[in-house]
Amino acid sequence: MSFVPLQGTATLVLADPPRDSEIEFTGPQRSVRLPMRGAIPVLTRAMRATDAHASVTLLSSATMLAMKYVAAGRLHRSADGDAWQVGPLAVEDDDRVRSLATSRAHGEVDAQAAEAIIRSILDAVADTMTRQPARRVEPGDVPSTSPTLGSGDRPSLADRLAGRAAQRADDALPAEIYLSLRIEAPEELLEAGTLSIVAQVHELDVATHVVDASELWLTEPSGTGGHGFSRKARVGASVAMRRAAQAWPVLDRLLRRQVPDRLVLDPDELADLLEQGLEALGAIGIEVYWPRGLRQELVPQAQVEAKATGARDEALMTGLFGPDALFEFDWKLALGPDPLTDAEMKQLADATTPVIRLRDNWMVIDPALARRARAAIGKRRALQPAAALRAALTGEIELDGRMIQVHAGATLEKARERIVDASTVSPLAAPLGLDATLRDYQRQGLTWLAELTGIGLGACLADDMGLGKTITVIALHLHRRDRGLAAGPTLVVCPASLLGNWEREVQRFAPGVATRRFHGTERDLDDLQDGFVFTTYGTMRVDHASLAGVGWDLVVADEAQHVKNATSSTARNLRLIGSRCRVALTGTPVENNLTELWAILDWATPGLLGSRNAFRKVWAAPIESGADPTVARKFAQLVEPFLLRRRKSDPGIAPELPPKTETDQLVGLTREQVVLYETLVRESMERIVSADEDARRGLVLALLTGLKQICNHPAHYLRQPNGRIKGRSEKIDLLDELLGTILSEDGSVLLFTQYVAMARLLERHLATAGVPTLFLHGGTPIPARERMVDAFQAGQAPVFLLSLKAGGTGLNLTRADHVIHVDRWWNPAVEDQATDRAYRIGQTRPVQVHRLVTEGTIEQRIGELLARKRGLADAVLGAGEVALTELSDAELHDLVALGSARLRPDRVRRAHG
Amino acid sequence: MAETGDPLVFARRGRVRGPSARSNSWWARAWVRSFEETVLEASDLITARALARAGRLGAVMVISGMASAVLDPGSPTAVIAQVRVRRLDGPAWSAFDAELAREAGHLAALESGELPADLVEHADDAGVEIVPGPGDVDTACECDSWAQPCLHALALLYQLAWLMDSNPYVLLLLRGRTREQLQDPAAVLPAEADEAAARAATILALAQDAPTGHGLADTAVAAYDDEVSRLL
Repeated sequence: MSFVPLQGTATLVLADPPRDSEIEFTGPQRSVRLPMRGAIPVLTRAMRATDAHASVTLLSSATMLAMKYVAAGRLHRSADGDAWQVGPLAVEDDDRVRSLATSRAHGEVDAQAAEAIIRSILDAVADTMTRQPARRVEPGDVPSTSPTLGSGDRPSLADRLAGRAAQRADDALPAEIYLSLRIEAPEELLEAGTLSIVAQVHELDVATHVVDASELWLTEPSGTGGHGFSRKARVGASVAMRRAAQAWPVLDRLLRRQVPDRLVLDPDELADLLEQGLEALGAIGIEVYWPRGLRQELVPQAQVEAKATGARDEALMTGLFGPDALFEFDWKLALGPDPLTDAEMKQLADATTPVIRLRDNWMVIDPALARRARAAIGKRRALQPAAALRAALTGEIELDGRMIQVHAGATLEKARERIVDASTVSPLAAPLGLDATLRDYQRQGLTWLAELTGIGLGACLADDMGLGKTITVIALHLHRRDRGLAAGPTLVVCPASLLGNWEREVQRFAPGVATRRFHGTERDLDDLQDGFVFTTYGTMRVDHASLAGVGWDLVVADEAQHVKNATSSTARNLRLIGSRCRVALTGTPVENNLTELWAILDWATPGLLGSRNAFRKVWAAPIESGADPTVARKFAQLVEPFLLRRRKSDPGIAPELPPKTETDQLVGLTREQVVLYETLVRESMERIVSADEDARRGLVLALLTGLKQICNHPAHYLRQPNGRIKGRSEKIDLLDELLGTILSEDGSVLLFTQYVAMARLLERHLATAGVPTLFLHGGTPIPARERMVDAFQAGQAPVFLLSLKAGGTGLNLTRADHVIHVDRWWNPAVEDQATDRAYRIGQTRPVQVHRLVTEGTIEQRIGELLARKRGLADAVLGAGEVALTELSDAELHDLVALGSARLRPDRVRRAHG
Repeated sequence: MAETGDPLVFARRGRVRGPSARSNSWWARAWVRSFEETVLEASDLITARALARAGRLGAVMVISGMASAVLDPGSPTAVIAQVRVRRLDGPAWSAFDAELAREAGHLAALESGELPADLVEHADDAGVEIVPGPGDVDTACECDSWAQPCLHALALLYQLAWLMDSNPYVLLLLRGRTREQLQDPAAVLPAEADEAAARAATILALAQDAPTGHGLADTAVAAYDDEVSRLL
């Protein structure tokens, strides 16, 4: 190598390709122009020359940097494919280039110009160092998936280089994927009864980043049209597809493909997908997405109708549900609300592929459904009247173990409407021969009974005591005779103590109607024509044979709770007495116990609620567990038409009563109460979470009781009968305030608490304040009770403390015009019963009911729960505290956790009058 | 060529019995056949298998084209046994890559611990023999035995068979490819770049001690320029 001057300026002369670039070194005498191959030795040693020109130093240091990159394997093909370049350059590499440019800028070569020179040198050196020129790769050449070897090493090398470069840039893209499958249904495939299934991959946690799996094979990760996944995602996709193919082997064909893009499923494979594939794939978390509309659901819909339908007119509805009645049902598939026509059902049954065209829509039908359709065509099944009725009322019927929708036929639908509307249609006129004026609600009750019994159904009239159930039944007896419906006498079964009452009322209100007691030793049914026969449950039990020999028109079970145990001989024998219709009467809320309700209704309308076991399984268990509120709603739909319950407190029932105002008085917790409350919640929840089922129930009840006591008063919870009372509970403060007002107006008040201990605290507190009190609790003997009631009614003490679990039914305390519930009963019926001690016939002043409720606590939350569910509770609920033990840990926690005082519900919740 | 990739290291196994000490896969059995045929003393095979089953081999390290393990590690008589396998060359791997890409399921099968038979058959048809033949495997050991392979190397060969039974990547690494390279052939450093990198490294080393003269009648400068030029 000849002499190359380093003291003069050196200039880079660029060329294309970069390997053909040259460098011109200028010296004092002459200039030397060298190609890159000649310049590199000079430039690599020029670094060590102490007197080199700044331009030489710039080129020299750039060459050394390039050499380092090449040595590190940092090479890639240029964008046009013609040359090799250093790179790709990461941010830190760019920084390195820039700082070198800044430090080597000189004279008129500023940092920017220096940077351009450095970058050119990098490319020129890289291209020179790789001895083979890069080769342009033709578009569409995809060596990584190319099956042929013949295309040779060169292009594949170039592409591999490119791929390697790109890989660095793509490393940041997501690699974790999950697989799903998409159904595509172009018309031409549908015509052939087939579909295609496409594999698609989603970014883990970003379900919306989704591409066809084939993209991972066919397109680049980044850039325009890039799939946006790391190259590693391809392996994950293959493995996921292999798992999918293990779940549903048809997909194995996908794995056999070079690019696993799609499969066309033949009809058998499609059927297999529907019958097994979907479930198997679903089990390993692979979803299958269907085009809109293709999987419209065909829902089985049952048609239920009375046999020989058509010409039945209204008059013939008489006895529609009688023992001779026959119903039948069949079912069809329905698309939306419309059942398929016979032709459509046949088309579906005859289809050889799951893809069928129905009403101008392509649909994919589950083969199992098609098989069921095939089996259903032309088959009608007989149905018991009670089952038909149940289907009509709930809108559902069981078919092959599943509940399906019911479409009632015209006759059945008309009957259903009559049943449902029976309690609200305009009331009948009182029957001839009734020597009394019926109140409106009694006429309504009569109408309801007449409607139900008129079509052969039974009923349970559960009005409050004293609303005139007896006279309503007497009116029904007369009404059936007016209409010529009756064929035979009426039997009333009742407790012995009521025999006289029945007899007197019939003689008083229906003079001339024959009455007879079938009771005692001298009983007989000889020469029985018509009229009333009265017997007791005891007599009925031993002599049901005689009673069963009569062709009764109506059998009435008064105080029907006597037959609530369906297995007792009383109940069993009552069932043996046949009649055209049955009416149960009860004054106690039967709805509180589902099994009792079943026993009564199953006697009145046999079969309506199904067998006892079926009833437990279908209704009682789900309702009591509270898991599915729709079950309770459906149950109400089913039983409501057969159950009529009016209360004295209902508007328009007992208009002589003055108004009643109920107010929730909200109070806060004291500091002491807050600490006690939170500690109890925390400690109890810890134990509850880890307890077994039996222990858990006990712990929950203990927790609920403890919290209520804390809400009452710390001394109550801490069992400090002599503890300080004032200043520890706002309930006491409020009570003092209320009593102050009430007593100054000469009012009297009933003070209810569930807890004797709390009542004693209040008694001591009021004694200290000089307020005279009476105190009655469950342990008070009957004579003392009566003395206290008399004393209160006589105004001897203005405050009556009561602690009675059942609210003390039978107590008449109408002297009180205020009722204060110190704590909450969790059964609204019990609370109402307590209130009704004061708010009952005989009360002349408006009654104010105050409920003391601590804010943010379980008391308030239960209160909200009760207020919301009151309607439902009236129909079927009332399990109370025990139901709360079935709550999950989380629900329980929400219930008991101390909340901040929330928006106060309207303080006046309900008002009458 | 940087094809060694990450070494695969398998922890020492204790004494084993039953199925885990047998080769169940067809590829592991083929591997066993490839060396059993070359052994002269049939009793050596039994002894070597017993050695391996007794758990006397330490951790097995597999790198591209080679595996090694220490027999009785920690004892004064410890020796290192080595197995070397002829690596397939670039064109052969390209052909194998092409076969691998022919079905999307192949890669998934490998990931699931299975070497698909039809993949290997197709590669065979393309002239690429993944399972080494008798001439492709060579062994070395620190022991004094002049039997080739010695008992220690034989034990290692057996142990490798058991390892590749559930992990076919062991076999493929012995033939020269890591799992990453198989999954993404683009990750393989191309020969050109590799070779250019080697020359560039040499030039950088030379430049460290480059002569500082100007070249005018300076023999050191001329020699340096000559030497660097040869590397271009």
